[in-house]
Amino acid sequence: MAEKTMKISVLRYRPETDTEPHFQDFDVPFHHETSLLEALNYIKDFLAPDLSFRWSCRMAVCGSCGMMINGVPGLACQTFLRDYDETKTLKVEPLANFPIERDLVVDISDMIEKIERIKPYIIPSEKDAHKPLTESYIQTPQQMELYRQFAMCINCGCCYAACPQYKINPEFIGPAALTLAYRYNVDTRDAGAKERLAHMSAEEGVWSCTFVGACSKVCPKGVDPASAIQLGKKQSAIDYVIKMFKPE
Amino acid sequence: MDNNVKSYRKPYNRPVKRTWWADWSFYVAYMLREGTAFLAVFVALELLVITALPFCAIKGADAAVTAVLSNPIAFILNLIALVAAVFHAFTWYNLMPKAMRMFFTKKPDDTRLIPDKFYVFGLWGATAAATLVIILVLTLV
Amino acid sequence: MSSKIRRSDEPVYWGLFGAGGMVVGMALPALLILMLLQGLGVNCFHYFSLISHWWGALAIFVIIAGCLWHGLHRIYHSLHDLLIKPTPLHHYVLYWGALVLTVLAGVFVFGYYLIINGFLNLSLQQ
Repeated sequence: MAEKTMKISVLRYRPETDTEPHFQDFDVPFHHETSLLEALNYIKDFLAPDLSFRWSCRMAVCGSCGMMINGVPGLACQTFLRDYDETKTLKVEPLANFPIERDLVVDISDMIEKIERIKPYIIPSEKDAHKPLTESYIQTPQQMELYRQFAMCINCGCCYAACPQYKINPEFIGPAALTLAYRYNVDTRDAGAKERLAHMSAEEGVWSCTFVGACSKVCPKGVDPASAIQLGKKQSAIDYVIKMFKPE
Repeated sequence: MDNNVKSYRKPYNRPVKRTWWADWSFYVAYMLREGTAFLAVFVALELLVITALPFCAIKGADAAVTAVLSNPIAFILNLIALVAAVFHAFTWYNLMPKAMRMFFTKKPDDTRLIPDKFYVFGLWGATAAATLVIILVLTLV
Repeated sequence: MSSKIRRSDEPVYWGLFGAGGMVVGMALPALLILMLLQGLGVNCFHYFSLISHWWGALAIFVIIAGCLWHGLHRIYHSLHDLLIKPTPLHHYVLYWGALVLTVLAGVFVFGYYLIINGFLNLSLQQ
């Protein structure tokens, strides 16, 4: 099959020389199977050896290659040039709403801090705290289905880059962290909902979300953070009513 | 570690534009959705004014209501409000199922969640019924 | 640590916003169709006959209140989307506005119902 060429415009930023980012255009040959990640590797191999970007698994598992593709967040490895108009320039930028470290590399430590804040791990109840390692928790298929879809997150940051509420107010805990909070709250092995609800019920928790829904639209793993946050709002509202009648 | 290595680190924060939503049609649809709120408030105020008519020194409240509703500006705003209300219903019913996560049965091995379209059909059905009832009641009452 | 986090009062407004959103979706299309037809000269919008029944008055009150709490809550959050930092003043104006207008709607709608049915000995300018 004949190779075609696409113009790819990459937002570049080299902190040692640049005061602000600027676009640089590259002509990249591609065929039916060329992913954006391969195109970037072509640029690095033949056109701009100093181009920086993160990648590892090439198969939408590691979550390293999230970037803005024509203004919409997505994984470079999962994006194919064939799906874009080759007569137009493909615009590639680092993930929005995060500080740019260098070229397409961003600093996602704010998202990581928020994910840590909501305690994304099973907190056993007092009764289970000293459960011997030889004993297991019993969970039915239905109990697992309650949270399964929300457990697929790979921490790529696409949902934070898509979220206008996070863009405008960086205090917002954000889609991935709130999704994990809900995911552990509904896990039958977990007893830590109280600790997580304190964060969810704050102004910067679920209540900063206006249900734009862009997070769910862009998630490369098909996770539905917007749904998890609405379900989290319900948990928080029920908790609010309970606390009204039974304050601590 | 060698502390003499010079760091060039200088993280760059991109500015937030007031027109951030204009760049992606998905955001534009969101802003339109939020914009329907102004029309909802307009209808509330309009109904408030209509209800207040008999309390003012206006003779024949029914004729006054017709006068208000046939005013060209009110008519055009009502037309926009109708489009906005239907668009609001469309977006609202599409998002409503996301706040629901229920299974068909309580059986431990039943992993079939009630699909979104069940809720959406139910909501449109209820809207059709409500529309019919409101039209019949207000016409016949 | 967790005791220092301030709980948001948003559940109250969110509940009213949600109920209002349902009202706007279910009731406004039909109401507006009739209002438009009445504006065109078709005699179908018998508003005062409706609110002379207690159930009609209640329905209209719920519709007005629903539109107000739904709409003003959404407008409050839209300020943020337009990069206007919401201040306590914005909050007071919009939510007190919603409350005052709701009370006003109650006074007018139920006042009309009570007067027209002779429960209140006042006369309207009919």
